[in-house]
Amino acid sequence: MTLPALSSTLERYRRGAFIRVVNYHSTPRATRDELARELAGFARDYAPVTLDDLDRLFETGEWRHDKPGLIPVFYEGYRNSATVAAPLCDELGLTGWFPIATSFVDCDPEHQEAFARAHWISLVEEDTRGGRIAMNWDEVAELSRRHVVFPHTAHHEGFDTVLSDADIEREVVGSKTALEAVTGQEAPAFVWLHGSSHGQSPRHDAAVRDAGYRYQFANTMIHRLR
Amino acid sequence: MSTPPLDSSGPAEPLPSTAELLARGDITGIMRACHERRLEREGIPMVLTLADERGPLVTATDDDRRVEGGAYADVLERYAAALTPWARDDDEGALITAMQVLAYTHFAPGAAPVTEEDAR
Repeated sequence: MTLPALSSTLERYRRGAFIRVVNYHSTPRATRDELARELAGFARDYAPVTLDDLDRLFETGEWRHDKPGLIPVFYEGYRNSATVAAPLCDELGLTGWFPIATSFVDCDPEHQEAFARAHWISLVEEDTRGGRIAMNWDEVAELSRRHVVFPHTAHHEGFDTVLSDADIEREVVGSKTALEAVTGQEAPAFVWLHGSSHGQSPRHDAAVRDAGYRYQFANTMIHRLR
Repeated sequence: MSTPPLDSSGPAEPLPSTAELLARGDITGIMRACHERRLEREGIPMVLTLADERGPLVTATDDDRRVEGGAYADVLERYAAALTPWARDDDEGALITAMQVLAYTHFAPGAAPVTEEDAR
């Protein structure tokens, strides 16, 4: 298991085993232009990273584009990830990666603000004006045609609060099943709340591996599992 | 040299840019600026490493990529020494803090590309 440590991080950098990511959360319409400028800068200087690109990098160490790669990651499954961020990625030719808390999507819009506040999903003013905060399943399906969508657990949970077998089944397996039923594709990756690394808990690691995930995203690294 | 605390009571002065902080070698100031960002408007850049849990990690085939990774490593080592000399090697929070400053300085929009010179 690769645990987070300064010495091993330095070694992997020196071997060229790295990828740039930019992590986003709510992307409100009110600040769309600023986001557009930032993403346009990234699109100018970096190449998009598809799932195939990441697979190849792990398998061969080869990066096949002229520019270095960049993964914009839009966390949680906010409605504005689908209505603001994704269209900008489309315009700019970026591949967005969208970790989605699947029970946030399932939650009745009337209760989504409370769901968010109960589950560490941060909100900006625009998210609290009423109406739906999470993307809906049609938007998830649409996103998956051009971008990468994968579970961020069901309820935006960390491994340290997912304790029983039923909890693990719901958060690790159920979230994958729900997403795949809508997208018709294998969910290729998983990420815990707080970006906990693989290797912190053998029981949870086994659950993630056995569920069939290929990657686990974490705060300091991307783990290839299968 | 280090930036004064952000809660000082005098009249507000314009905050120095990342480039100015970097030129001064004010790594603590860069850390503060990095943590003061408006996250609904700016993403959090990170240069993540790749870890293969199936077996040995493949080394990048591209010389440029290894050179760039070497420069990132040298800068991260320097920032970790400046910010988190108290940390254990496996202190994840300390590692994240140093990596955030690295990415904010050398990868965020408008940041200077990392060079071997940065590591000196």
